[in-house]
Amino acid sequence: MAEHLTPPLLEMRNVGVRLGRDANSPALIENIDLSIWPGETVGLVGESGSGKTTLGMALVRLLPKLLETGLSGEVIYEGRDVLKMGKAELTRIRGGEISMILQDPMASLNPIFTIGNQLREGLRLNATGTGSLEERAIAALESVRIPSPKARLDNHPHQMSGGMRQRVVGAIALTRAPRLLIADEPTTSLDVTIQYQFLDLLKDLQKRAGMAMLFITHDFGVVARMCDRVVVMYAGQIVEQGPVRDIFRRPRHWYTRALLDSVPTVDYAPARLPTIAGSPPTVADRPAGCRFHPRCPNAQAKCRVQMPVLDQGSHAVRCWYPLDRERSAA
Amino acid sequence: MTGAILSARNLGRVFSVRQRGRKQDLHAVSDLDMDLMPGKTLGVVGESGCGKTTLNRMLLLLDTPTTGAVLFNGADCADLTPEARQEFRRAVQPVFQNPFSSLDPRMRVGQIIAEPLSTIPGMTRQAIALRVGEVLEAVGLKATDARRFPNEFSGGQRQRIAIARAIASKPKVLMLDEPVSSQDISIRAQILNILKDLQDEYGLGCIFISHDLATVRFMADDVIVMYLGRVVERGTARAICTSPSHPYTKALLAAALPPDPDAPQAELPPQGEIPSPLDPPPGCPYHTRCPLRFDRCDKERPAMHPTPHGGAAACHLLDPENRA
Repeated sequence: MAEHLTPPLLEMRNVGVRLGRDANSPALIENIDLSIWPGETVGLVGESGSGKTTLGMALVRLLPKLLETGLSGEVIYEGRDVLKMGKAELTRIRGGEISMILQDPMASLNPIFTIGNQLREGLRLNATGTGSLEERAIAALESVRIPSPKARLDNHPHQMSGGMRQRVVGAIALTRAPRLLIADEPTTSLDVTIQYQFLDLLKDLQKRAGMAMLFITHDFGVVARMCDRVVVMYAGQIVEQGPVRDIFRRPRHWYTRALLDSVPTVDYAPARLPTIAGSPPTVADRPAGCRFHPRCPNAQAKCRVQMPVLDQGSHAVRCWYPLDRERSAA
Repeated sequence: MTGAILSARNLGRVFSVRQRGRKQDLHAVSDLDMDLMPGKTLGVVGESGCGKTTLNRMLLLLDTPTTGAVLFNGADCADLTPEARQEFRRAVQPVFQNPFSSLDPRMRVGQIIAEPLSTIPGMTRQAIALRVGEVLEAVGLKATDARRFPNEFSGGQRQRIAIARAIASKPKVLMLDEPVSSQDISIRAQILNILKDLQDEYGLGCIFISHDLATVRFMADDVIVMYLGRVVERGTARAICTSPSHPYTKALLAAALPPDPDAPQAELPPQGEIPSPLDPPPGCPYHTRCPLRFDRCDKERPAMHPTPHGGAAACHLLDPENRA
């Protein structure tokens, strides 16, 4: 990607995750080449089973044991390969330099401890802060716009609303000023008006901290609002990546295009929505050739037998016969 | 309104809950009026806790209203004879959000779809089998799928089965409670199209409950917007989704993020949290989050006032007396 002058913060090179060590076992994700530059937000979109969460977990080596043994490739963070790191080094990076927010805040928070307790745990590891732990915990809650933060420190997670809990998770994730935040569907469990506010807050915090963000979602509205670049996944592979405007205005992959066209909008009501026939393949029965060819309106003989490669450039596509036309606004 | 197939008049449901040993009333739905015309779709929009699920249950006669009435073809459902109640059950069919919990895993698809048909007197086994095949094909599956079990199908296919079951008894009304929320994006459009086709083909009336204004725009003719158990705005889907009048509807519209990176900033972005329905604010229920509130809002509950596009909204700003 020629237009970047600085080196990427993180670079995945030919990363793959198989179900175990056996080279013939099915791969959840494969041939993943992905770079994230400092300060940018990369949207990772795909349907369930496309491998987007597996990719996020592979970045920080939080995969289940079986998948961990099937992990291959390189993840270069500051010149070092995350996949070769020892336990101590991984622990230092996780939660410190690379932090995560997951879909369900109750899965991240411990129900039997107060949120003050859980915030202080993260703060204690942070040598850079000034003031007492208590003061810093209050400041952390203030930064995620929680009203009367002092009183909230004594609350347990169940005493807060879903949106409030997710903001606490955000506060904990950001206590150690990470350089990369992996947000895996952080707003899917929230109501729409609460989602709107949480996205606003995330954007604001990101700008202030100058951190990069990998935003995993299936919602194109969220992508349009949050992301600078978009990576589209289908059946375990990256099928297209590029700047957010290019992806929305001139999608090159037939899948991206069809997916964008099938999303209803508030502006107009067509008689029918354009659809993609069939459903995404499961890990066990992914087709030969291009993974998308059974559902592609433009599949040709070559697509059925030969897997396309992701081409080079800032707007890359994995397709033998990519699209090259503007997508009309409505 | 005359000719409505399913209506609610002054509908209310109060739950008694115990919190910290104290008995409290939870007003899940209050003073709700609505009419569904045959063959039309009424969208019900709101966030969690707004009462849309309670409304759905009352309209399905699965829950008894505390006040007011549900009317079916103009007749009060509280007075239905057992036979008429059976008739109602055939005529009003639900499709739920999650097809993993709404289909019995131990029944074959054919049995699942045939179950509502077994209540129809005089229907032979052959006629039932024929009808099962017919509805399976109507939702884009194969008649031979009747022999298979739900676990052999994907989420999208299961939702098709749930829809096939709902239309098997040739209902007049489908009650759709977030039918595509649990589906993948490429599957959503398929399901929405099927629902629209079936509606055209069978002249079905639909209640479409959702939190997503974009899908409601596609499916619905008219829309009611609910907040803390009350209707705050009603109007055509077009008016609600393009020129809403109530500040809450505007916030919902702003929160329906458009799939367009160059979309303009929202006029009235949402702020604050939904208050507890156990302790609803006085006056206008939305005043705690409304950027346009003024002194009248926390004292007096607004009545429904007409909106420019032929709808109505419960907001003091629309009161002609207020312009003085």
